[in-house]
Amino acid sequence: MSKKSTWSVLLLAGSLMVFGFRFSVFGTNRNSLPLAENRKPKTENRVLRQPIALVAADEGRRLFVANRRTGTVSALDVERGWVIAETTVGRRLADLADGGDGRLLVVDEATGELAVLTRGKDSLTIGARLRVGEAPVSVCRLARSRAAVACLWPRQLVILDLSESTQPRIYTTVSLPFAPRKLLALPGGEKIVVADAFGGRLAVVDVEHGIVESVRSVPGHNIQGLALSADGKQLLLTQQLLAEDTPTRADDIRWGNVMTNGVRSLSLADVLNPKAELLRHSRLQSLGAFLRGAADPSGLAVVDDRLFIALAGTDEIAYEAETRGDWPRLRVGHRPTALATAKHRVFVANTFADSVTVIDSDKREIVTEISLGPMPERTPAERGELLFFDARLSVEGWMSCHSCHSDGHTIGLRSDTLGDGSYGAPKRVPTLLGVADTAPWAWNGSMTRLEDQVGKSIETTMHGPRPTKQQIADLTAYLRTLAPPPPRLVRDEEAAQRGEAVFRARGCARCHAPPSYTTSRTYEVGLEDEMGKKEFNPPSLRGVAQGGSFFHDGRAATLEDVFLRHHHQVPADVPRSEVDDLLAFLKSL
Amino acid sequence: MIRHFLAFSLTLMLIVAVQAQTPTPRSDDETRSARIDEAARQAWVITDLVLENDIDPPARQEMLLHGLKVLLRQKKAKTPANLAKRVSTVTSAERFASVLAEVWPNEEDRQDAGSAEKTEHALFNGLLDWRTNEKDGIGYLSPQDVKRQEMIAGNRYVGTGIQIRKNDKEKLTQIVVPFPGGPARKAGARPGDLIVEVNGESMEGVPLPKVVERLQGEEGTKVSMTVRQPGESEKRLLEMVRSIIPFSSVQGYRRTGEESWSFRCDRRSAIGYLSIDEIKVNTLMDLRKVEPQVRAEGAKALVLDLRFTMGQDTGHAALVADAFLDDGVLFRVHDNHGRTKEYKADRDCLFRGMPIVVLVSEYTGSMGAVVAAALQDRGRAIVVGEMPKTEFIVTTLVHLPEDRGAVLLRTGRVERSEPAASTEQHRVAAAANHLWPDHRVAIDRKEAAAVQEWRQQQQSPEPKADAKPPADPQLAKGIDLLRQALTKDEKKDKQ
Repeated sequence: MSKKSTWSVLLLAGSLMVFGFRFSVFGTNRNSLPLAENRKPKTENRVLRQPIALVAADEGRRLFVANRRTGTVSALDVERGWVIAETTVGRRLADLADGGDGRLLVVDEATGELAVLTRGKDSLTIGARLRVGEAPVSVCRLARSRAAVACLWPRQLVILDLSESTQPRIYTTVSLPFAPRKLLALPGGEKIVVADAFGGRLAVVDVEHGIVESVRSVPGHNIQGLALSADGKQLLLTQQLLAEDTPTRADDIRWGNVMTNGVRSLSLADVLNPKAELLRHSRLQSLGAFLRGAADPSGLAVVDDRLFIALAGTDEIAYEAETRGDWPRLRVGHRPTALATAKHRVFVANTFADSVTVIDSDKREIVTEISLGPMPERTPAERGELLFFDARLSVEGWMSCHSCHSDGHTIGLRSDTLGDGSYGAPKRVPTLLGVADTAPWAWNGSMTRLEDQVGKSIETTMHGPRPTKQQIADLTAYLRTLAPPPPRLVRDEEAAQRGEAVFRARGCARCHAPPSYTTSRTYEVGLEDEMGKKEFNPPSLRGVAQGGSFFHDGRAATLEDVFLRHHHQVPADVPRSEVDDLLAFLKSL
Repeated sequence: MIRHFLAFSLTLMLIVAVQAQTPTPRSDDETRSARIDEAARQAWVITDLVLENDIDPPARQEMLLHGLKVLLRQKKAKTPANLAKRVSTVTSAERFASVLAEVWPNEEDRQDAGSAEKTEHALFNGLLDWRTNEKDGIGYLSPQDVKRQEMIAGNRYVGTGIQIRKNDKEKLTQIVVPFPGGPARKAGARPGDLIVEVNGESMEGVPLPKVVERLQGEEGTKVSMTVRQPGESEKRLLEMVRSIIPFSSVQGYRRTGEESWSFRCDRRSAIGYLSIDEIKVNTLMDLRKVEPQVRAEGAKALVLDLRFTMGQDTGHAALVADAFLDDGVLFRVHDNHGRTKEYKADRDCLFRGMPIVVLVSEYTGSMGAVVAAALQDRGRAIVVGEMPKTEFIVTTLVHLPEDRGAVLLRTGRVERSEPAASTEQHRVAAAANHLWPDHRVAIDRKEAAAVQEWRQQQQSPEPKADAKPPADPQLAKGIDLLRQALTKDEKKDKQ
């Protein structure tokens, strides 16, 4: 193959850094990459990759890594310790899974697509692409050539049929009562566990019939990892647990009273039985110890009956020791999120270090860290992103911003902070998606600069070292990049239009004024907190239907309850149809 | 409770954290009157806080009178006959200052009364001692006390980790216990070691507080001690770095090593035993840590000994009660402002499935009683022992403005969620805000002392290996009840 065609492929695929390789081209919408090479490729392009998912192949000799920021998949030669190829698959990759038969499944959050990659003898080919829906955030292989994709904001699970090797198709779409993220196919492949992206709900879905068999919850939030125990009898999940009534005092945080960072085991039999009390045999193990928080437990892997857990907030891997209840740690790269395993090895994706750490699971030692490429100087917002997910902002590593504002959104729970001026009246954690447009901040509207609110939260809620001005500026710059959550799917446009009329007629816009659907004052609207405060700053209504709970103290669990149970500015005698129209309108925001 | 609380603070202060007293310059007339004005203003602020926050405050004048009487007692002067009448007309800090000026010690009194600072503290404590006969009193803490108290409450003492006492015979300070995990113990200190030198300086004849002063310092700093065992001439040089020494608030039945316990209290059946000496910030973490160990020892049922349990914070009591419960309201706290805080259990719990007996005694503190009541009310545990003398009262450290210290006030009452009303006595006790045991088992003074001693022995990192546990009728009853419960469970399983 000529040099010229190599370059044309590079241009076609927008590939970032493939130099001096052979390419076999099958068509304009496909490209392929060589997987076996003796020469270490040059990695000169300075770019942030952000690896977020891994698949190990060939007994751990080969590793495929999905990079979020570049939309690329890197192929690694583990023994040689370098990247042998990297190719562009999409714009913002969210997950990667083994698709069986030498295939890899990739989902792209930005384009809403699933891509099927095929590994040839010495090449990786992008085969088919399929539009699966808005915001696909994870993908998981099922039995019988099926796969499942979780679509975050539409709250859907899309089941795919991959039996046609050339073109996958959507087998069925299942609606969920929560925004899903992590997926785990259960043995037999007929059922799949779907975890809440923000809160603590778990659904079991019958794949064949497209039925949600059960939706139950565990106490807690931020379920960032799912796995089965070595004996296959337990469902394991990494999660956090926020004690809503415990004041966020430094001492309570450092003794684990505010945020539990843990791993929960559930009996799989109970998970599969919709009638069983889910927590009957549940056990939540806390991973933190005195002076050693374990913020943001994420990916987990079971190797030879031993559990490895990525602590994304503290840049460590915790593993089960011989003594029960002890969790020694290994330091890895910045923000370890996903884990993969193969033959005595645990691979760790260090999302903010653009690297993969290789751990010897027998000796519990770090073997090597493989770089995915050089990183550029970060912009203020990019530095702010690092801080947002960094538990060093809190006292002894017990929590990051993300621990409560999960990926910038809300976990839907309350927290007893000094944000409202005193302890004793826990307030709902607000979403930070779209936060830049919702001045003033804090429930009492006391903060007119976002920087001040950020500084106050770090100092009085997280209690870490005093943040520098630069840190606060960077964090604020990052927050300003966060867009409001998209609306829930609105099926009835007309109802939404009628609802808008209701919104106007009822004077909702006096406090929730478009375009940000909030105003800068505080209002008394018949609500009172435990400390006797009655005036609150109205939250923005953009993306309001994506919230996990409503009002300052989360007293309404659903948007419907806001009106039907709490009659928020809508008297009880207002016709139900009018309320339904209003709800349709709010869901369209 | 305040007495116990302060005594505890003082002990720890001696161990790790005596603050250097800054000498107060001798005051001339001008500074004297400024000082009095300031003290009067501060006294006024304190009485304001009491009136605002205390659930059953006395009149302001009553508090002021108490404060003045303490000062008079201090300089061994009689209370003027018209003092009460004069104080009753005081309506501002300025007017109180003029009364205070008459009572404030002058130069001649200095000898007895000590520094002006001491006088102030005596006055402030006096303002708050109208309830000295009650267990849940209140008290004043100076800024230094507050710092110390925060360190104690946060379970993060910095120091060498030793408990010391004076050894008069040897004219030296002696180590009672080098705490497990502490720097001194890691450096090789042993119980009974006499401290001959600190940082090369001889400690012979040096008073205890001075020795403490030499030993204390910031986290991460170095200190060395030369020690010897009594009656031995061989000296050992111990070098260490001061660090945080966390203390566990949860104990097992028998210590098996420096940092390990056996939780089995009964050889014949699978019954585990835990005791909590204080419900505080770290108790939940301690319980989480021991749970797998209790289970690993094969325990199928649990005795939770709260007979000597201290504690202050209702939030921590709620976390501890929640640790044993997976459902329902734990209790409610009503404060002086008419606000109510309801604490609920989440659906997680430790020791799931184990029958529990809670032991209580007349020494059980209010937070211990609150936890026992929550477990009794939710049907989670059978309560055995004697009625705690304490009421369900919340005490809170309320800070004075501008870091001027804090006062410990009775800020709320605890309301049980659904007081168990299984007997008339339960009902009567609950109505009087007390906890009635389900099985009342008395323990005589001698037995109680033996139990206390056993517990103290086991708290020491090196208890006698062959020591035999004392007779303990309350524990015996608990074990008996749990055995019955386990047999019943077994029978059910067989069917």
